[in-house]
Amino acid sequence: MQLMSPNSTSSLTPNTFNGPHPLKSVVNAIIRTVSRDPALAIGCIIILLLLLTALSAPLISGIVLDHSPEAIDLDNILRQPSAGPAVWWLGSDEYGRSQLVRLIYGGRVSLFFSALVVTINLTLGVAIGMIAGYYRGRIDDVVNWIITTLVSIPAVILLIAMAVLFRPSPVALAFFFGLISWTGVARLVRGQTFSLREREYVTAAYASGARDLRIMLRHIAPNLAPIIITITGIDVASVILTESALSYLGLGIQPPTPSWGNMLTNAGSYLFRAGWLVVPPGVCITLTVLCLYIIGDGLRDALDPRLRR
Amino acid sequence: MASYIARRLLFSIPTIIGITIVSFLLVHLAPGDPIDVFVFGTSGLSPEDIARLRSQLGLDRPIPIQYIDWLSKLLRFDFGASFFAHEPVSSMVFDRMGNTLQLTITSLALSLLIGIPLGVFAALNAGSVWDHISRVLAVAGSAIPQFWLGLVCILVFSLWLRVLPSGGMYNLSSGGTDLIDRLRHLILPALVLSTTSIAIFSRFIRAETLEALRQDYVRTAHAKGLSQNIVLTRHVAKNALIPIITLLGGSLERLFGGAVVVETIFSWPGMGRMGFDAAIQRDYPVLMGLIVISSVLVVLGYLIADIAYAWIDPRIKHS
Repeated sequence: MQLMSPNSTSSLTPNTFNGPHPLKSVVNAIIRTVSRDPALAIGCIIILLLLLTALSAPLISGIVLDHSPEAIDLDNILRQPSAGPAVWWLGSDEYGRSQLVRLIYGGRVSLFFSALVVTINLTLGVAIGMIAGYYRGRIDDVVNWIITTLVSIPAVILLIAMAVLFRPSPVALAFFFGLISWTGVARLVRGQTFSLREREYVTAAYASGARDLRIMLRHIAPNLAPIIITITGIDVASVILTESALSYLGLGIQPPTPSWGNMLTNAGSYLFRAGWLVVPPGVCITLTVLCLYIIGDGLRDALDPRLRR
Repeated sequence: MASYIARRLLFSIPTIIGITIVSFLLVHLAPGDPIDVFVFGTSGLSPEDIARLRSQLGLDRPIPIQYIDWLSKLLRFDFGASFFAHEPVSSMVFDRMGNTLQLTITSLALSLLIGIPLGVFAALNAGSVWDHISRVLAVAGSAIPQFWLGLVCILVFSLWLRVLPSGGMYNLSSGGTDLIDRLRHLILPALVLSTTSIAIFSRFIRAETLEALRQDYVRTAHAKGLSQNIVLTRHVAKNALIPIITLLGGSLERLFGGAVVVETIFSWPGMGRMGFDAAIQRDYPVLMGLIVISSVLVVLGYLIADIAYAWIDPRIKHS
């Protein structure tokens, strides 16, 4: 990316780029990588299918299956998975609730929850990381202290304490979660900002009188895009894992709202009688996280400037 | 070296203070009073009695004063007494800490014993089918939720195959002295706990070994006529393994968090499960003490890892 080529015939406007816009080259790189790697393509397809299913969950359960995820049906307790009516493809639990419907809705809940947490993570992490990396000095020391403190407390323990002490709604829980997990993003952004701040176009912008905020938003932030995109996938995966563990313990998403984690809470006590309850939610979690990791890896390979020709 | 250790110790102090602040604020910002839990179930207490109890316990003082008081008690290792067991928290925690450390240390050992060979093997056969298989296994290992893996393991090994017990630390009848019995109880929880670590270590070792194999000194060694085995053990191993120390220190946070879930599933009588039970019961002193102790152990882990790293790589302590 050049600030101004010597042969440029445009008028002197210090803040325009003559090279390709950074975000556009990012998108191109991603498309190129996905079309080359079959595993990555499969991962993307699976995640897209998942998103589609999650978004259309009310449609599927309401119209196609005509069954609510919370509908208790005491005539159909602990049904084995059968090939008959679609509703009972995955069987039912101890309350007669269709596992298939709960699985679909659980995916929706898990995905929305993770999306909310990751949004908070990115917002807080990018903001704090950029500020720490840009201004350095005392501000950086304080931010480092906060990050080191938060990182040292095992997240699961902190979340359990928060869940029990504040009894938060799912949205509030997502906020708490975001409040303690932004540190990973912040560290990466801080490191990247450190080096980006030394680039010539930043010095040029500063010399032209641009204010700090403008420099951060207009010059540094777009170049953070590759790292942010890469870490988003992995972040969503790790939030899904932690949320399902918390819900399994009974402290995350509360029943009757289905979540892949809390579908497994009581499955343990029915291991003998109804072993089929244990399999679908766990497989879904594993598959989703696996695909997100593959996508994250692929994105990192696509966007890592050192690997470009 | 001593000055490096002193410097690192000094830098740990603000972190530990930060941990105490977080833990304290958590409990005191939560809705409801510790006093409500303390008097829960006790009938016949008039509002005056409750107010008197509150001032007796010092809960009506301003928050910063309460914090300083709690902190000074912490420095004397006085974590207060449990609301329910009426025992000092410190003795409760230290009783159980040994059990959790058994689990954690075994997990670490397993991750090293399985992860390192896996990584080296993948690096030596880079690009082959085995390399791809081990990479898929590694990624899958970190994608499987630990609690689900625990459930499935109990299903397979305890209910179907009936070779391993499904919980607890040892058979009550044998009184805990039978080593084989103890190992049988330990193997499943330790393996489940180490899954993520195995995945991370093996991928890391693979990358490090590949990097080390590309170095010039390996070329020289081969040119001198040394066999692959000697090159690996004498030259590559030392350089590839140094960063593992940092990974080890960093895995403590993951292990203590994971221990909570694993201990609950396998009914392991450890610190993690005690924390979970205390949380459910709203036993604040135990909860706060556990947060502080676990976090301080994590900080200690990072500290020891840094010091070991500096001891092995002399360039670090002079930076």
